Amino acid sequence: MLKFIIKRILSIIPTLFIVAAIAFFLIRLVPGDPAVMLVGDLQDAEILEEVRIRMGLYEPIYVQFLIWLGNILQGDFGTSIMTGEAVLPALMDRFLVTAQIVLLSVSVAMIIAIPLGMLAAWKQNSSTDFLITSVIILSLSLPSFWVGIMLILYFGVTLEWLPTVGYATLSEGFWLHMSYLVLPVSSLVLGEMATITRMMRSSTIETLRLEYITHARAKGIKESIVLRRHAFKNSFAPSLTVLGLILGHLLGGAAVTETVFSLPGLGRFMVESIYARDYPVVQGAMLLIAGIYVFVNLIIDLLYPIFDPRVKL
Amino acid sequence: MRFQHTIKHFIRCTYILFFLLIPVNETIADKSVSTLRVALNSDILSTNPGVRRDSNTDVVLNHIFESLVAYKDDISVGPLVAKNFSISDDRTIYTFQIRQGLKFHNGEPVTAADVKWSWDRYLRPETNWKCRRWFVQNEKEEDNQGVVIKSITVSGKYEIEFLLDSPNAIFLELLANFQCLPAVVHKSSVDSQGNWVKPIGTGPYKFKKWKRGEYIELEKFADYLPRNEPMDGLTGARIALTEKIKFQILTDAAATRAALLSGSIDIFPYVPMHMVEELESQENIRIQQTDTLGWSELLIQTLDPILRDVNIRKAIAHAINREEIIGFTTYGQASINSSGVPAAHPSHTVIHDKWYEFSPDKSRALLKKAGYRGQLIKIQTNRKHPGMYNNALVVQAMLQAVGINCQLELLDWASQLNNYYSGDFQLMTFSFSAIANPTLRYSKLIGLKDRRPNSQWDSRKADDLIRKVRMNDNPEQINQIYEDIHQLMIEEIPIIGLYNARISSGTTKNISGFSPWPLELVRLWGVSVD
Repeated sequence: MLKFIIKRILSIIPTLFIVAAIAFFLIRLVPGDPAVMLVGDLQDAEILEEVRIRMGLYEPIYVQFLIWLGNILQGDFGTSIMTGEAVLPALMDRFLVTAQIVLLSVSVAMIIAIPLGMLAAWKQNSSTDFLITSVIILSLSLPSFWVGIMLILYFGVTLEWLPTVGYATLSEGFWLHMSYLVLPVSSLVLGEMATITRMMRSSTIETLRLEYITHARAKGIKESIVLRRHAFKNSFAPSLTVLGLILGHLLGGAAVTETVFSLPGLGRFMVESIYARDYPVVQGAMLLIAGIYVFVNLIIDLLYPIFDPRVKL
Repeated sequence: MRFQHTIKHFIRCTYILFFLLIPVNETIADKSVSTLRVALNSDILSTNPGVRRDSNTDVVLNHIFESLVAYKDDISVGPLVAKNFSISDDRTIYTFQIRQGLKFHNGEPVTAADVKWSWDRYLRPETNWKCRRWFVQNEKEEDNQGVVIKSITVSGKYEIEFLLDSPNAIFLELLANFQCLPAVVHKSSVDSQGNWVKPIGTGPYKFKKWKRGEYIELEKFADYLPRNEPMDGLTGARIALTEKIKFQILTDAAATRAALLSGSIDIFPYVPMHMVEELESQENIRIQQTDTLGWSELLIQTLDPILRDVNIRKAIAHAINREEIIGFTTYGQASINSSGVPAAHPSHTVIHDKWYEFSPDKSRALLKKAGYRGQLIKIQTNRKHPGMYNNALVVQAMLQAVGINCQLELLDWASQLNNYYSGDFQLMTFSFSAIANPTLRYSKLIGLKDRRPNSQWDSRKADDLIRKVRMNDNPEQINQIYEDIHQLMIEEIPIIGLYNARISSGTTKNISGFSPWPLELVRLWGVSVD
């Protein structure tokens, strides 16, 4: 296992290098540059040229890349062109906000989806299965931004139960902090829950058809124990893979949800930086997101043998 | 069975948890009557005035900082940090008396030496002050506004003199500019290397906290010394009536609307036009509107092989029904204006209302005269600014109706702005930010395109006229020159002005004292929460 972990960690290096190169060159292919966004419409072309020179945008591109790469290796992700703040701390602050929302929503989604999926599989082709499947399809069809706005309108505007926008840190009070998370987490849970439920349902259906389950039932073991002790682990393994992909994707930033709820998260920050052509932030964010993906999938791979002992690392 | 019981138990717990959270909402938003909560549609860029800025940054910084002079409601210039000012007979020496008793946010008194220190800092190239070019001798003649500050002298503890190279009629207007605010700043705002550390100004509010991406908080400056006269534009008594201001960053308009309706914010400064009618119908919401000095137009690249023919440009002008555009794009909430002098500006006369009538027949006749053979003309636009996009849609339809082969080229804002600066477009829907002085507006438009590609009007005649204005401080003569410029614009059609938009601001009904104004900058002094 240790060998596996070391191999995976070493494989991160070329992955991140490729991501760094793609991030660096890709953003520069897009027309417009940060000097334009900084200068706005009130200034002259000469000021634009001055700002471009000051930003080093006229250096040969490979020089710019090597300088940036060298700084990255020293832990310096640069400073935001638009705001002047250091990129890495800015990204980490926003990542923490995104991580709270995503981890909470994935946890809640799992708590709901796993038993729901197993129930649907156990009651396959019954009215319960039909109801659950219909709810899943509906959840998958609803765009998260629409769900978010509807939640705001109902719980925030009509009932005035929860705040509609903004964010409070944990240090400002646990309940206050949680109150700001309820609506965004709820809007994310619907979509994630649907995906995991479907996965759990189909893998549980397959597992329940296996001989050892029939054997367990024939021995007179209670159905709840059959499901919990015998079926669950094998059924959950495929969902674990999907979970890793969902987690990696959302930790990269649920930009739409963060925009609707005005949350200072990584996704929204990344989108705003792309529009502003804030090269250091975009590059740093892409590196961070790639790192998150790799790390999350490493953890998932390490957890796999727990649920499926046939898998050897 | 046990499984189902577990599910039921979980659902029960969720309900209980949910209801426990309800009372929390009472304390969630800062509903203290001493806090004014205002929506900003993006985060500010900096607290350093005039260095990194956009319109939201201007809003926040104009509450922390003040300049020597500022704009009044009637767009004239009045004293702010200055008690009064005088101009020498040869119009090269401007003397400002600083108000005594004025303090910085750190308690230090404001003196003429502080004003000089601030200005010396702005004029140093390493400060990167955006408006430095307006006040120094530039290498390129076309960059000069005619103002060169030769020296700034402290002639008394509360008296400072600006000596200009030559007389100039717009010097005070340049000093009053709030976009690259030439604020009086305390030395402690920078460190020993000259790097910006924190904002210490003289405004009615002082900087408290900036949580990036979330909010900016200002608190009332208890030792603020207001002027005696009533509030007037950015001058007069700028009295803080609330203990705090919280600028909440809300990037989504729908979410901002929900926040206003739920009472999470008190002021929605720029309500999108399509939301105005619905918000007006809400009991607890008040909508206020005003015409602005911002200008929406159709830019024309007069160097383009097709569009360099003035008959083609006249054909386009005749094809455009500006009233219909206003009806579609702004729901009728704008003033038709094809002149660089805004409709709400005191210098706007009936001459500025002259333009080409909407006449598809005349348009077709001109196209025939020009020998137009259906060559493709593209209109560049973007989705970030719905007004520009909607203008482009309607203009395209109108041009196609007269036989012009016209397509939209949809770009993102950064790309379009890039093309604006490089002149790489044929037609482009655009909006210029509010500028108080038409001379500054025309100075932006007029210039030689081979030297300044983002100039819209490459005309020696126009250039001569604008230079005359800069040297003239007689209002009647200035207004006459503005009319002459507009007559020339009608002949040469370098640009097709569409309208000056109206802005709509939404507030909850417990807010008093707030009013939008033509320069669009949000003003929160004199505003209270009942």
